[in-house]
Amino acid sequence: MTPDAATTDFHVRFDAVRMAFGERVVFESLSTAFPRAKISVILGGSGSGKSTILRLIGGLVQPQAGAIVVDGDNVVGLPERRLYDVRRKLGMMFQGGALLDSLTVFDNLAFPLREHTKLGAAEIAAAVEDRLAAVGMSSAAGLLPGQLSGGMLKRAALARAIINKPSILLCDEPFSGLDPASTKRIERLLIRMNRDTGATLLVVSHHIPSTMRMADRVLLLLPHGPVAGAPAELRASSDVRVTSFLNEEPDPAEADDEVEAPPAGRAAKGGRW
Amino acid sequence: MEALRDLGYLAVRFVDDLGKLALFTCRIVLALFTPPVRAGAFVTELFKLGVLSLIIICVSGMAVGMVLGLQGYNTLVRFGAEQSLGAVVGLSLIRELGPVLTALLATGRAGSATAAEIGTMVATEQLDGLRMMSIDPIHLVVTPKATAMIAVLPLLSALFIVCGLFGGYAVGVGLMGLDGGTYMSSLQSAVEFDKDVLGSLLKALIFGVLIGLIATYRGYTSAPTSEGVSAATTSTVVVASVSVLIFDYFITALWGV
Amino acid sequence: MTRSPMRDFLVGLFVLAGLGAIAYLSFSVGGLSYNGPGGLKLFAAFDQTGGLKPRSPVVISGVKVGQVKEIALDPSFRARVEMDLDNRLKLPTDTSASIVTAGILGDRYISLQVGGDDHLLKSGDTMTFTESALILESLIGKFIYGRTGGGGGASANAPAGSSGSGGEDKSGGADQKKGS
Repeated sequence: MTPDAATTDFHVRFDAVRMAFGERVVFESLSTAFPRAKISVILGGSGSGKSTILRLIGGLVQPQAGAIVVDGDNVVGLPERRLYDVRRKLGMMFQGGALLDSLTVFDNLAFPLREHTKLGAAEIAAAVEDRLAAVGMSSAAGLLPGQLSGGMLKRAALARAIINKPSILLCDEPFSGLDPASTKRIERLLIRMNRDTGATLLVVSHHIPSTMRMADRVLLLLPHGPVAGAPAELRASSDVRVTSFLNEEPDPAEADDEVEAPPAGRAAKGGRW
Repeated sequence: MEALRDLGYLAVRFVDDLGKLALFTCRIVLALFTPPVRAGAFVTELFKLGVLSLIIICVSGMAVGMVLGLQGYNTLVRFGAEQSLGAVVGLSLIRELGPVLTALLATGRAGSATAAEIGTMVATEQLDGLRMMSIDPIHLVVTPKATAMIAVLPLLSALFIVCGLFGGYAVGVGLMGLDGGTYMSSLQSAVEFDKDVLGSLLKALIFGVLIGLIATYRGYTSAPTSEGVSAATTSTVVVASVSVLIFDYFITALWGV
Repeated sequence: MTRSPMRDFLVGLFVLAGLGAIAYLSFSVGGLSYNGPGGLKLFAAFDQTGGLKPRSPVVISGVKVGQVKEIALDPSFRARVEMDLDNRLKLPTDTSASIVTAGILGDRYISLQVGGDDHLLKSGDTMTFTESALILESLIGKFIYGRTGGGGGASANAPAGSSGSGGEDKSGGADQKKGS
């Protein structure tokens, strides 16, 4: 299903992107688009390339072919300087938080502001406190990342991702490792982010219930190819592979379990340092 | 045949690695000349690599000096030359043992810590997080660590040597009954600044460069798993130690000892 | 790691200690000396330098006043030594330079005996009176094979600081009594 390019405004677009790590091909020719100010969720089994899509958008890895247009700029082959400009519009919430473990939560949030803006200490403090309040972490400002629980870590990561008021928020498995209550909390936070700020959300997840609830659009990465559409459309799909995935049943076409692929791509292979 | 092909593969990979290391070094140097100056990070690294290594360096230095005093005395006394103990201890420490042993100890302590720290940052996506915030991880993390290592080694080496001289003095004068003045004058007349002390400091500086580059490179390019971090750490210790010893020969030969 | 004043203080201490150790090794042990002002350039020719090296000290009455800059062969195959001395020195033109040994088997250095002439040596001048280094082996050789005249006796020409018979090759000028 190709999205209707004429009527929808796309914030991020993939054009015939080919991504391979050495011998392993993740996408042969991926073409898709993510609409502006909407919540798009990328679903798929382990190793299907969900996280890779986010890393491609952020320019952390480079594809072998194709174009990735982020808000008008093609990040493929973009020189480092220009890439940094594009990244200003992005906020990324990493799966493990990726906060600097030697700094407190407050300093972690203040860090990008101190680096890139000329704001004074008071303004920075105000911005940090504002984001912490938005995610309900005001009391944790003085803690180190190592002292945070799983849910708190995710919220801190989210707070840092939005510190610069990005127009595109990338979330890598925001619900992973959380109990149902915390999962709901994060889900509500993300929805509220989208409503309040109008930011485009790209969420990578394998948590189907939350996805179905929050997504405006779903990109389902199946072994035979990607399928995109609104949640309701996919639920009603005639393709049994789509519906069985959404019902969290093993793919009937698969003969054996797919071995979980290692988190390749972060090493120098195909990646940018 | 298999073995030959493996050897060829290893050789190619070695050269490839060397090339990558050279590029990595260029990026570190480039970052040095790019603002902002990360003085805070530099000082923190001086603390982690230098101050925290003080105890092991000083204790080892003293122990080595004491052994030199003992062995030196026992050997020299056979030729009736025990008056030259100061010279023997001093020259051995200053020319070789100071820089080399300090480098090996520092590799084990500071080098492996650096590699592990950077490797862990890779594994926990902290470096990717920095990149997404448009901050160059080499500028923030690697350059301060590498430059601190270079700065720290000559200082540690000098402290090692001084502790060693003291250890030799304690054994030679305190234990063996040599005259203190003889020890010191023998030491002072044998050691020349140009040939010995300067060469010693130069060695320590070069070793600092080696360890700093190898430790940060291994950490930076480690696989993002716990095995990856551990492999980076052990590889750092092995590669850096061997490099130090090999470079020691070449520097000694070229400096014209 | 957050910075703390304590950490910074310890780093400062560490750096000071390290630099102090380097200074100790350089100056006290290694013999690097802080040179006083130089600037007075003088030359002296010797038949034998006996191991004198650049940076060897130049001494008057036991006090270091400069160092040897360079040693080269002059056209008549003598060793021409260039000295860099403290430019506050006022040395008469009949000052002589001898190459002497520190101790019996020690390093060579130059000792200057100040003369009494009214005229002073200027920078770039060549000293007229020099005394070459004693080579121990030739002394022993002479002693073993005997030598008539010359050699023996406590000649007033004995250079400061070394044992044995008087020096050879006293170039230039009439006999001069040199105090030691």
